[in-house]
Amino acid sequence: MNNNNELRIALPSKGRLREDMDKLFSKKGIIFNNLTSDRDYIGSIAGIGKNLVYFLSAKEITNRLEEGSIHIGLTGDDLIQEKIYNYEKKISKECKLSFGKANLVVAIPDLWIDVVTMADLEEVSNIHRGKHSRRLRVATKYKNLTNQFFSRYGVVDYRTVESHGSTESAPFNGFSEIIVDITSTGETLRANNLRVLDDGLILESSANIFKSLTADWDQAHSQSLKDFLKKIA
Amino acid sequence: MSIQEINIKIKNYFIECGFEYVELPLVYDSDIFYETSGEVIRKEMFSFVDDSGKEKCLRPDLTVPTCQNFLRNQSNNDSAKLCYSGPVFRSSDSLEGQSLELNQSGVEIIFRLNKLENNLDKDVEALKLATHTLDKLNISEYKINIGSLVFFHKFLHYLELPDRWKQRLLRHFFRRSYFETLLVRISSGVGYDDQKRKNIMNERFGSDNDQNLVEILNRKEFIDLGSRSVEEIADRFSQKSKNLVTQSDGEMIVKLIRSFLSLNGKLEEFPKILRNFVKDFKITFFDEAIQTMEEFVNSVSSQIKTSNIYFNNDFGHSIEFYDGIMFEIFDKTGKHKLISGGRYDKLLKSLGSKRELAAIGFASNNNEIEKII
Repeated sequence: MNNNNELRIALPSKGRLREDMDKLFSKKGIIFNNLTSDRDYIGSIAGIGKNLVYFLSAKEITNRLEEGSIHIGLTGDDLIQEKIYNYEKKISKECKLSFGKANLVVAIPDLWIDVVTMADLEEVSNIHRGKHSRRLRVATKYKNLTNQFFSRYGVVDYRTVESHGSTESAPFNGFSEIIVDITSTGETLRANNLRVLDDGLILESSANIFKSLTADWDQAHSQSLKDFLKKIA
Repeated sequence: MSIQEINIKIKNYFIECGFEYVELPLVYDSDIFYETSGEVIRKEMFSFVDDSGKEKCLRPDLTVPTCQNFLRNQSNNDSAKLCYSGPVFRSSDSLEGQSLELNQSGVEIIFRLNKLENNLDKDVEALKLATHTLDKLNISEYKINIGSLVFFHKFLHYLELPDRWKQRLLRHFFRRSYFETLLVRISSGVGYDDQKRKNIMNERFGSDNDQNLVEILNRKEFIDLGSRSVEEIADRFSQKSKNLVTQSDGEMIVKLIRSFLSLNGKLEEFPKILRNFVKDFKITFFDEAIQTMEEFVNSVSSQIKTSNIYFNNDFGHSIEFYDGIMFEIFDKTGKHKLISGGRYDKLLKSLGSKRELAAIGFASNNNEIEKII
């Protein structure tokens, strides 16, 4: 690829994140060049020096930030912290955006009225293991963040089971006992008779502009990034 | 001496002492380590997914495989003396994900628990073998640190604290920072008071009568409880509002626990240290435990040189899954941990043993030994 001089930017290609980004960009007067339709997967932003925009999925953007094949990307804290080992050393947050807000939380069946805190969960999981000779199962897409959080609260008698969607139904179809999942209003959880633990907030996530520390940076790149952040702020 | 020579030398010594050598696979189903050691071991393990989609790993430890091997091949035996030697594989955060192949030689002594005795003889046997192993390698100067959860257990037993909280403290003895969190919580008082319980009941069910909680919960049909029973939930809910500990009682209990855990000294002098502690705090309940300690000291000193052995009540924080005595042997500089071991009476059961079998074992860290000889 002969694009070493351009600032390589990755933006979401679809979904809610794309819609909110488009709204923000039009408000801030950020315009794409060479974009014939909103289905194009490559373009550039006008007025910030040489740059190249790739439209990718949020997950792909996270991977590309880690390997350094893009300079900056728009994605959520949740993906960055879950998918990138030692993310602090590879990624820096340049600008927090006002959308993509979601909380990663620990939720239990609502009728477990004796369970209010992580300390309760610790005890209940220990009882569960003693009784059933197996660990309490936690359905989640966020295995790493779950493990970090649970270990901080001394919860050890559990294991994660990988969920691939509709995590909130897992406790009621025998797939798991509890869940760790993303929620924005908590409505889906409530509708499914789940309740978030009082101290069960793992992460407040939002969309951000992230900078890859593993990409090759020169002065022109840094200047273009500065110009871009000025426009978006 | 090369690592391989150390591995072989120690292994041969164990065999000479009557231990049966078990050859163990390098690759295991990851599940067995998650089930016995928990999710914490995940980030230390080298794991991969095989063609059938099953997660496998390079063995991160040899105690679990040895015990599993015993249950598979000698399920009718009530006792065994097994030994192993070879590499285990762990990645470590301090090495930033770098691979790490550690060589260990170790023994496991499996036996039937005699409920009427303290079963101290096996502890002493393991300790003695560990020191003889170092003698065999011509390492003559070393320092032994011993601790035991048994004494903390006995001490807790008599404190005016709800059983749930005692169990919590024991479970988390190894997790220093969380253990500290628990102490802080106890010192601010624990349990729901009556009013709080009534408020919760009112808020949830429009009545503060929790006598019929099972009935009330049962009325909520169609709502699954995710593998817990209505009785279990109701029972634990009412347990929380019994056995209240007030703030001032909580503070006193935590002060006692901290003082107890701060006791340490030469093994020979430790019974005296315990007696002074008991006198200072006017504790009347600890005599039996001190006697056990005296028996242990006598038993050890009749068989091993004790001048370099230290006992520390706080020792054991952050060390794996032991549930009785634990020990570590360092070289004279204190920089190299040469041997570590201890009792794990619950491990065999968690691996599926139907009988009450106890075990004690230790492993030498041959990479560390290589550095000093």
